[in-house]
Amino acid sequence: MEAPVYGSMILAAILLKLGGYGLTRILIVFLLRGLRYSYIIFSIRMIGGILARLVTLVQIDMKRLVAYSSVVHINFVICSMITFFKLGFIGCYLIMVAHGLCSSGLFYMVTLMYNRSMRRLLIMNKGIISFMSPMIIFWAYLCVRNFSFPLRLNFLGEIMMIMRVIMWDVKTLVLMIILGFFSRAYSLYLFSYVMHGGINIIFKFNRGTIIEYLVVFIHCYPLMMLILKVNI
Amino acid sequence: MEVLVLIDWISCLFVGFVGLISLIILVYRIFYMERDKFKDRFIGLVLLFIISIILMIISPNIIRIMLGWDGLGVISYLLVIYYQNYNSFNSGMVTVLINRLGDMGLLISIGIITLYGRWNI
Repeated sequence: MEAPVYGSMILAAILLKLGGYGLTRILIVFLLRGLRYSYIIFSIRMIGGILARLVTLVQIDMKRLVAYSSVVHINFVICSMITFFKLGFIGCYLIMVAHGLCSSGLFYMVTLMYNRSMRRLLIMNKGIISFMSPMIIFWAYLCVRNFSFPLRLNFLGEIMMIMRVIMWDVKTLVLMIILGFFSRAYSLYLFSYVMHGGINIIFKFNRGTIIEYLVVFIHCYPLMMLILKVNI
Repeated sequence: MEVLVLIDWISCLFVGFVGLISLIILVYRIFYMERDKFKDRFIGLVLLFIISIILMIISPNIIRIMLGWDGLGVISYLLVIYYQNYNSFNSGMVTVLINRLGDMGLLISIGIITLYGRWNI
């Protein structure tokens, strides 16, 4: 939590996705065992997903909330990957690319607010919309990318994963609804709790320099454009 | 690329009801928001709301129903938090989370209907 922002961004965007890439490479080893025992891994991941979402929902630290959100999505990725099918595999890949860009951008934007108010708690950073208003369109965009919104990359990946998991077992349908509901709950909690309300404590009234806008825009631009050319 | 539109007596009835109720809202707004500073914002939000409802009603495709439903959720959230206080903040969160339940139902129905090989209802 006390790491510098560049370390957190590299961890979220590159190292975590390198772990996902290693998972896809090593999957062939588990093929014979996995066909027999995949239901054990599947049920553990599902219960772990619900518990991780509930833990994410009660965080009061912004950076810790963003870090837990990348713990949350890997549960669903492993659920879909352990079913050994090409559809779920492509869905995992899309989710991992989209979430790498999105969580790295969210870490950077949390640090922008930390530079203004010198606090990372949710309750201290209130009313950011009053003085950093051009920046909140990017903040809303990145928060919306955390769950699946239509016509974006996460949406496509999540539909493929839901299709694959429902094909594997129809009884997981209720669990899917709970998982999707809580993943939207914590993203909107992060978005609206920071933006709404009056200003409690602010030390620097700085609307944002060009280099900050550039870094945030470079995170958002591939997320906007990658959906236009998805050939599978 | 062709855009199909579904028009039968059910969709015509619903479009008529939506038009009637939104007309009543826009008439009542004149007296209720007499001293408001930014009147154009409210009219724009209500018009976007009507457009997304009509987009949801007349679409034969489940992806477009999903698009209209999510636009409806976002714009109803913006309409609920139009006046900024804590009551409207809590009501807006309740609105958008209930909207998410229907959203997950639509996502799962997309997943089920794709197993039949088509997206048209």
